[in-house]
Parts: sequence; structure tokens; C-alpha cells
Amino acid sequence: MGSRDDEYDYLFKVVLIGDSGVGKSNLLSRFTRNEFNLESKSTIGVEFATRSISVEGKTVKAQIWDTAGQERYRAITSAYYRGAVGALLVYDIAKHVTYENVERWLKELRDHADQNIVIMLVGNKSDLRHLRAVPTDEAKIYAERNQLSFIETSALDSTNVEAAFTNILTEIYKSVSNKHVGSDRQGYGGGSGTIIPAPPTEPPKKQCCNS
Amino acid sequence: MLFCAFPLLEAVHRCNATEDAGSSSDEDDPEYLDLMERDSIINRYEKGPDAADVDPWENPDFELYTNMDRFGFVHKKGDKRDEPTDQHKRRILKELGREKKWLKMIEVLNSKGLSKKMEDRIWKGIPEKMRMVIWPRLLGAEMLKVDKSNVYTDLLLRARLVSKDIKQIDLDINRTYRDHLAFRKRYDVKQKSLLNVLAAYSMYNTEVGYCQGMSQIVALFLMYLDEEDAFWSLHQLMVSEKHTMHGFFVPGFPKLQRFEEHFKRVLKKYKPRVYKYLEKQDIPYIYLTKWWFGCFLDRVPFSLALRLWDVFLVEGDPILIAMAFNIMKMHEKTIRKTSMETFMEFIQTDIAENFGYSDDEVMHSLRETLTKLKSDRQHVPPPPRPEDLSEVPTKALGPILQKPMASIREEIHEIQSRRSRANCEFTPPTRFDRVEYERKYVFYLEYFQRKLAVFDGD
Repeated sequence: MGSRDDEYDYLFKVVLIGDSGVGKSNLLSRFTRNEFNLESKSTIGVEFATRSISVEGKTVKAQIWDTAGQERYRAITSAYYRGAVGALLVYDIAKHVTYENVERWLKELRDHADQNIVIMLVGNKSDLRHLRAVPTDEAKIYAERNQLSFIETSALDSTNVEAAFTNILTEIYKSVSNKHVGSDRQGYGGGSGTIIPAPPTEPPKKQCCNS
Repeated sequence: MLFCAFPLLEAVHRCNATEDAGSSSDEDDPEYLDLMERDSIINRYEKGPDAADVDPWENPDFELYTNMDRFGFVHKKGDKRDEPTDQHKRRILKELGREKKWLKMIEVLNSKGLSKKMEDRIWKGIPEKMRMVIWPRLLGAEMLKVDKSNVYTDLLLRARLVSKDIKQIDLDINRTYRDHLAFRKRYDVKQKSLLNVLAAYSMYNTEVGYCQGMSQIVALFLMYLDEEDAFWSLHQLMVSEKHTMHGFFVPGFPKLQRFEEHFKRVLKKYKPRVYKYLEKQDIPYIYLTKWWFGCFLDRVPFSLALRLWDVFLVEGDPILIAMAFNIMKMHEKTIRKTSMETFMEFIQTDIAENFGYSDDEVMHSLRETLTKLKSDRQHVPPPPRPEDLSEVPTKALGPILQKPMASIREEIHEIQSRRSRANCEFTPPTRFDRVEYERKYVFYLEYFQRKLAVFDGD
């Protein structure tokens, strides 16, 4: 549950980005408050939530910034990429175009985020099996090629939401703790081994599961 | 009003398989895809809520809810904060008593404009039943509607065929006041009105088009007004000198920056300790975006938001600065104890559920704040500099109106025939249900897209 507790060993800033309507806000509310809201509202600007989890015996606190998906809001939201050590780049498995746009979001990160930011590609709405438009394998291959972690989630039925956040926070923790031994209670990360990928050779939509 | 349904399907029927195979794939013709998507969205609203293909997840659970408040919002059963208090009941009785006075006053407003007495009454809250008359009048929307009769209808006809914003609008309608009875059922009447007003406006003020945040405003209007009144009220809100919300929603958000700077100045001047505290905690001013883009909708309880809208329509911009400052003032003690996390939760959730003061107390304090700011000439920021992005429209309104419907149809036909000249991979079934066909069509489209990609790779 959301913790107001100030006891933590690490503080990581993470951003949630991706096209409008892919479920970023519900992923966040599922993770921080274990709530899913069919009546949720579109995000205007940027919203914020936090939760602490335990990683290898250390308390890691995630400060998560949830951003509006509409393109013109990038003028505001991109300022929040700075200082972020992690990004969950979310698309909707039932809307192919939201997956095609992953490319543009990666470019946004390359332009505005720290070079070492850890990026996880998240295919949300995995409960919509009958409407799936993006094959899991295709996205997985794309993520591998671009050095992104990958997971499919459902904020609605909770599948993998915990895992998505835990995985990215663990990944950030590992890259940070390798570089800064023994420095407790530090904000943010810095010096992670993950780099922002170079532009991939092919746009995601061209790749296919059985190529 | 009936709109041409499924024009695209006809294009598919006519699809001629003798053309060169693989000469063009759908992804080569984004215009066609756009057109098809737009058409499919419009059709869903035309078919309404009872169509068989509305996915269950698109509708919130009705079973969970039993209580509706006087504004039309449904609440979870046993939600204590929605139980009417005695104070609340007294307030409603008082309001009902005021209605007669208001009916008289409206006559005066018609002939003489806004009197000081009327302004005072508005600060006490426009009675719920009167908002449908008073709001458009305060905005000058009523006159505009008469001056520009037919404009809305003509825009709407065109917008439904060509607006590039329909996809984003549709995404947001799905997330606009779904806890309000009027907007609860997917594709129901008011959702359709919301689509109409926003789509029409996107073709009227093309510099703003559609921006997230506008759907809440129009939905609020549609709780009280019909489509056309809501449309002109939205327009007045965007361009009238008092409100110019154009400057908030236009790409680049120039007005947001200017107002944010001013808010910091005001806070620093009148509440330096709060200002210093927020700066020290490194709390970003991002919450102002949502506060101002919807004039505090969703960020304070709905009954209070209505009171703020009453005075916002009269006073305009100064309310935005004064109320933002008023929140800091009224909650200074809490705010100066918070960390960034608790501050954000306080702003996003706590005061949205329960402001901590009665609506009347807030309005009283707000009016005091406003008077003080006005006397110090701090109620509005300095005007924009010449080099800043324009906060008002610079282009002609409703350029699409110059285009006859016939030529719009022709252009659409051109896009369709481009498609039917292109490769056709499958023969449509001879007997089919159109609704089912339309639904499956999207699926097949993507299926063949992927298949083509494989062939390309071979």
C-alpha cells in the first residue's frame, strides 16, 4: 500500500509514458493503492503517486510520475523525464497503433531523459484476449533488440502489475548499488549500465512473430 | 439526424480483386485508415448503447451503485461522505427559497446587464435549476447562438466526416464523468452530444482543435445545457476577454506559463513562508495545470466546483489565481507540514474528496482574497509579451464552413476509391450482417497487414 513512511534506503524516480488511453493511470493506481477504476479520468498534465517495496532486504521507494498521453502535453510532461532513473513505456495490446508509437516515445526519452534510464516496455490490457492486436512474441523480440525489459500486464485483473514495478525497481537497484556501494538513503540513481537504445533498424510494426 | 452509415463498407464491396496484388497495403494510406477509424467511431455513437458489440468492460458496473446525489453523480453504497448532512439539507432549502428571486432577476439581467446585487447573489451560488439559463447568458453564448444560427449544425455535419480529433475525443469520452448518470452508459445520448460538441469545436477553432481537459468542461456544460448552447459556451470560454482559455489549451500552453509565474509571485508576496516551504521541498507546480484547465473540476468536491464556476463565469481569470492562492491560504497549516508525497496526495485526492471547509466558507474566503488581490492589482498577471505564443485565435474560425458538403464527400470518395483500386486480399461473404462485418473488418485489416509484412520479409 502507499506508504507515507520516510524510512527508505533508496529513492527512485520513475515515469509512466505511452499513448493516451493505454492504461497508465490504472497501472499506477493498481500498484500504489491496489485499485482499478473503470471510471478513471484522463490525466491532465502529470500526476504523482508513491510506494515502497523491499528489494534484497533494502527498502526502495518509488516516486512515480504519471503523464498525460496526448501529444501536445509532451511540452509539459517531458520536463519530468529529467532525473528519472526508470521509465515504464506502456502500450495497449489491443491497439496496434499504440505499439507502433513506442518508437516515438523512445525518441522522446532519448531527447529528454538521462542517458542511463532503465526502460521497461509494458503491454497492458492483457485481459482483452479476444481483441489482441500485438502478439506477445513480436513485442518481446522488439524489446530485446532495443535492450528494453518487457512484460505484459493487466491493471484490470492485476496480472503482472506487481511484477512490472518490482522488476524495474530491482533492475534500477542493481545498477545503482553496483556503482554506489554503501551510500544509503540516496535519491535517484545515476550510473546504471543500461543505456538508451540507438534507433532500431526497423520500426516495430514491420516485425513479425514468426520471421 | 441521420448520418451516412457504413459508407466505407461499400468501398470494400466494390473492391476489385483483378487489380495488381500487393501494389498497396493499408498502412500506405493513413488517410484511408483515419477515415475508416473515424467512421467506425461515429457509427458506434449512432448505434447507441444497446448495440450488441459494446464490450462489457466499456461500461462501469451498475450493480455496485445505489445512491445518486442531486447533481446526478452515483456513489458507492455506504459511502459515508455522501450522506446528506443537516447543514447540506438547510443549504438546499435556502436555495429553493432563492429561486423566486432569481426568476425576477433574470428579467432584469435581460434588459440591464449584471447588477451589483446580482453579482452578490451569484457569489451565494446560482440555484441548481437556474444554471441552465444563467451560465450561457453570463458567457454571452446565448446571443452568439442567435447571431450564428446554422453554424453549429453545418460544422457538425462536416466534423463528423473529417475531424482528425475524433479518435482522441472518443478515448476521453470513455473517461469523462462516467460516475455521472448522464455519461454512465457507453454511447448513450449525452455521450453522443459530448462527441458532437467537441468534434464540431475541433473544426471551428482549429488552433486549439481538441485538447485533453476540454471534455470535462463540455460534459459539465451538457449537464445543464443542450448541445448548441454548450458549443457556444465553450467557444466563449475559449475566446472571451475574461476567460481566454484558448491560451491554456493551444499547443505550447502559453497562458499556463504566464499564470504560473504570476501565481508564484502572489504566493511569495502574501505567503512567503508557504512559498519558501514549497520551494525547499522541491514541489513542482504541475498541479496548477489541472486546477486551471478545468477551473478546479475534479480537484475540489463537485458542489464547490459548481460554485467556483458560477463566479468564474462572472469574474473570469482572476478566480483562477485567487482560488489557487486561497487553497494555499486556507490550508497553510497542513501544507507546511507536508513532504512532497503527502502534498501531492493532499492536492490530488484529499481536498478533492473533502475540502475541509464548507462551500460557503470557501467562497467567503475566496471573495476576500479576490478583493485583496484586486486592490493590490495582483489579480491577473502582466499581459503576454509580443514575442510569446498567442493566447487568442490568430486564424479564421471554422475554415471548413467554406467547403461545400459536396466537395467534402468527393474527397472522401477519392480516398475510398484509392483504397478500392488497391489490392484486395479477400472476398467478402455474400450474406453477412453489416454490424458483425464492420467489427470483423478491423480485425482482418490488421491480420492482412501482418501477413503482408511476412511476405515482405521473405
